[in-house]
Amino acid sequence: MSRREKFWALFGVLAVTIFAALPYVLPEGNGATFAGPFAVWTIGCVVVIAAGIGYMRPWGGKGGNGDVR
Amino acid sequence: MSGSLLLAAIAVWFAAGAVLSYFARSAAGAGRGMSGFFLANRGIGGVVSAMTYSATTYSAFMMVGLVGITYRSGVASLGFELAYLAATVVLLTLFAPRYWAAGRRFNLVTPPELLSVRYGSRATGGVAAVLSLVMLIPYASVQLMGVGYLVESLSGGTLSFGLGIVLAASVSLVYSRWGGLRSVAWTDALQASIMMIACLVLAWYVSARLFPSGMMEALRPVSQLLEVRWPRPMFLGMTLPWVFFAVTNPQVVQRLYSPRDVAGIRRMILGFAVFGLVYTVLCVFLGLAAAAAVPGLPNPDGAMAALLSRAPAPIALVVTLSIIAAAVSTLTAVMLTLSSIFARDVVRSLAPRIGEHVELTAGKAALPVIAVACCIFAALRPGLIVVLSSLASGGLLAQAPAVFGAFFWPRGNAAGAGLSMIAGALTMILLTVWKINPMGQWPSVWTLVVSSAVYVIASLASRPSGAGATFIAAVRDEVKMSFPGM
Repeated sequence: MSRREKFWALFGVLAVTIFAALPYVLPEGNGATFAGPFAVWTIGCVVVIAAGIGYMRPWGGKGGNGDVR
Repeated sequence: MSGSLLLAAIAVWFAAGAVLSYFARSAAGAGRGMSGFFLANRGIGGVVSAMTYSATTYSAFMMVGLVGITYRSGVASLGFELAYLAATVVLLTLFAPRYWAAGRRFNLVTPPELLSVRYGSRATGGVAAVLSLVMLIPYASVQLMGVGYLVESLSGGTLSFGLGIVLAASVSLVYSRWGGLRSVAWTDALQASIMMIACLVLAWYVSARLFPSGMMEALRPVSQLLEVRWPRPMFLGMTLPWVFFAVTNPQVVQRLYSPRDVAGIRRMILGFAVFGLVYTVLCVFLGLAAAAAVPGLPNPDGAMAALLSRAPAPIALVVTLSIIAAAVSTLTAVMLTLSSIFARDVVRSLAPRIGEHVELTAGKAALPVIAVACCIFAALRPGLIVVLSSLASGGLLAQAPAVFGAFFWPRGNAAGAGLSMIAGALTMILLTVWKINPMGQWPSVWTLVVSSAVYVIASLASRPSGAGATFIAAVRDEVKMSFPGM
C-alpha cells in the first residue's frame, strides 16, 4: 500500500466508526427531531463520500492497459 | 388496486426489460465463454456499472424491510444503512482496483476463484463457493418474499403470495438466462431508474399531499422514532455484516471484474454512492411517514403496502413495480453469480479437464435449479425479512479475514483461509440456531472475531506458502500500472 492509500484507509475506518457511533455517545439534545441522529448520520455519510470522491480524483482519465484477456 | 391492473403493469414492465435484454444479447455478440456470459467480456461502461451495482445492492429489502424496521424501531435504521454505505465507499476505493486488476491478470470469473488462485488451493475456493451457495439462497428468497407480500396485499388477496413469487422468479430467470451479465446490467439500469423515480415520487406525494402541514408536525405523535432506540449490541450486530458486504457478498464482488476501464470504476463507485445516499434517506423517510400515516400495524413489513393504500393508484402502481424491479435485479445478480460459482468453483474443480463450453453449459443449467430452490425457500415464509437478510450477510462475513489477507497479508495461507471460513460460518449458524449472544453481542460480531482469530492463528501455525507474496506483488504491479495515485 502506498502512503496515500494508508492515510485514506485510516481516515476511512476512523470516519465511518466515529460517525456511526456518534448518536450513541452524544447527549440527547436534538434526539426527537430531524436535527438529531438523522442529521448526524446523513452529514457523516456525505463527508465520507465527498472524501472518497477526492481520493478517486486521479482515476478520472481512461487509464488501464485496455487489455481484455 | 385491482389484480388485473397490477398484472398488466407487470407485463408492460417485463416487456420493456425483455426488449432491453434482447438488444443486450444482440449487442453482446462476443458474449460467449465464461467471461462473455458472466462478465460481459469485462466491457461494461461506468454509468451502467453504477446502475447495476446499485440495483444489485439495493433490493426489495429497502422499500419493504427497511421501511418496516424504521416503522417499528425508528431512525437507527438510517445509521445502520448509512454506515454500510460509507464503509462500502471506503472498501470499494481500496478493493475495487485490486479485484479489477486481479480479474484481468488471472482471468478470474468468480470471487471464490480469486481465493483459489491467491491461496494456491482449490479447496479454499470450494469452501467459499459452498458458503456462498448456502447463504445466498435465503438472501435471494427474501427478494421473492418481498414481491409475494406486496402483490398479495396490494391486490387485496386477488393475486396470491405464491403467484408473486413465481412471477418474480420467472422474470429473473428470463433476464439472466437470455443474455448473461450484459442483459442483466442493461435491465438493471432500467430497474435502478424505476426504483429512484418511484421513491422520489412517493416521497414528494407523502410530504406535499399526505402531510401538507409538514413532516415534524405529522411525526409529533411518533416523535420518539427520531431518537436512537436500538440497543448498542443490536446496532453493532445488524451493521457489522453490511459494513463488509462489498467484499464478502459474491454477487457484488463479481461486479468489480466487469468495468471496462479505470474511469468506469470511478464512475461506478461515485454513481453508487450518490444513488445509495438518496435512496436510503428516502426509504427511512417513508418508514417514518408510514408510522405517522398508518400506525399500529401488527406486521411492520406491511408498512409500505399500508402507506401505498393511502396513495393514488398510479403512484402505488409505479412504486409496486419499483419494488418488484428492485427484487428482480438483486435476484438476477444472485442467480447469475451462483450459477457461475457452481460452474467454475464446483464443476470445474471436480473435473478440471472439461472445456469452457461444458463449464458454461453447467452454469446455464444451474440457473433454473437455483430459481426453483429460491421459490421453495420463499414459500416457507420464514420470519422477519430484515433479520433473515442480515443473517445471510452474517454468514458471508466469515470470508472477510480471508479476503483482506488475500490482498494485504502474504503470510496468510490456505489452511488459515479455509479454516477461518468454516469456523466463522459455524459460529454464525450455531449461535443463531441456539439463540445465544455471548457477552451480549450478536452472532455476527462473534463470527468476525472467530474467523479473524482462526485465520491468523492457523496461518502462523502452518507452513507458509510463496503463493501469497507472488499474488500480492502481481496485483500490486497491475494496480500501479493502471491506477494513477496508487
